[in-house]
Amino acid sequence: MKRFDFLIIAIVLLLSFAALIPLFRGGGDRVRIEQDGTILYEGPLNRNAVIECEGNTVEILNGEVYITHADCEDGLCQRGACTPLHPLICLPNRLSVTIVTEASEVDDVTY
Amino acid sequence: MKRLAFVLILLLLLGCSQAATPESVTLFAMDTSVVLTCYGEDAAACLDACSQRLYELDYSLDYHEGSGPLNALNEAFGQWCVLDADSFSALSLALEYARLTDGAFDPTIGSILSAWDDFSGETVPDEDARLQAAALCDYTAVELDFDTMSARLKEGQRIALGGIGKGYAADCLAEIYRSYGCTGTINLGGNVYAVGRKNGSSAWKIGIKSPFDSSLIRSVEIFDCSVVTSGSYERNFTYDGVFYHHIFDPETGSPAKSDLVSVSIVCESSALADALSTAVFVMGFEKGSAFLYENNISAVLIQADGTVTEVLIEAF
Repeated sequence: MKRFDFLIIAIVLLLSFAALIPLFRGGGDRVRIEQDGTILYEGPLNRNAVIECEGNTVEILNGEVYITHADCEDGLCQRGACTPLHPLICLPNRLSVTIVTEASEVDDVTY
Repeated sequence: MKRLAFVLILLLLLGCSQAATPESVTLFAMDTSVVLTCYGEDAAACLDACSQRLYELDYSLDYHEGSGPLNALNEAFGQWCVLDADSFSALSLALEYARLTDGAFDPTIGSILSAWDDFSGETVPDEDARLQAAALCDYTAVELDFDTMSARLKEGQRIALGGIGKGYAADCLAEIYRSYGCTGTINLGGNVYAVGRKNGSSAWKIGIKSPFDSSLIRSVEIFDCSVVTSGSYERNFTYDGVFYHHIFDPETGSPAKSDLVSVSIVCESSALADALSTAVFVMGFEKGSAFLYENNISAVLIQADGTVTEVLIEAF
């Protein structure tokens, strides 16, 4: 085999293994905040953070996620913590806070 | 030639190493959050088409003041009113399901919702007001004209399609998935439709949320099928120490006094599943179970004491 053959093989192997990187990323559950169809924030659940969105404040503290401020009328989104099965939704502000797990036992949830 | 074959094999491995990644979008429509997860080469175009269709349905099926054909019907004071294709089709289906359930599901429940100020939590009507509203709740009084796509209500009646709207929309979106050759799941505020098979061969596993805590109490494995849940735990309020939930009994004008806390219907038609999840809740465990067996409908019923009953689930 010539040097060029080795180069081609190396490039293709590199690309094929690169596709596997997300599987080995690990890091546990992640928090995703979307507003108006745009992802505003995505980060690990085990990293404390305060995220200011338009009309809402989301706090991640010690593995728990809450909406701590909302300028909507009913404040329903501020009731309770976010869980993998129960995202927090602020309809008036079109905001959703979800916990994304790497390996979910189900494909979707009815409630 | 050997070199080319080797490279092609490696490229094939590259393709295999990438597990199918879905396109996903979260939308807000029909007064709820909508999560669409779509697999297929045309997934992005499929989701664009679904978004457009969803906003059309949001307009056509909305019965609140100031919007759409259904509001016009509610404000027509007993006169004929022309609807659009979706509002007429959904109303027609709703009346069919009202007949099937002998009124346990009734799309004329709008008069009761009005008495409760659309379940805002700020108004609890007295017994007389509830019964007056219930007296107007009568699906048999609604007339349809299929030639002109018109409807006429008895004066004072109001249509509310909240009990079928998400299911009707899910069925519409599932057809769009199929037209694009896509598979995946559609979730409208907990109303789930699983389109096609997962990875080309498996069923989709859909969890049923417990009404008592944040766990999953059961799961069902389905394909080209819907699971819809109604329960007293999702929308409720307490007023003067009394607990009120949002699933009304058309006969009394009050929240249904049911021994069920959650009903999940499994059915190929999401609209039917949506309507029956309400109807079976109103019927209660004994009458609801009998209805399900009689009509060969699969379901998971959860009673207030925590008992979980699967009806015809092994059929899937």
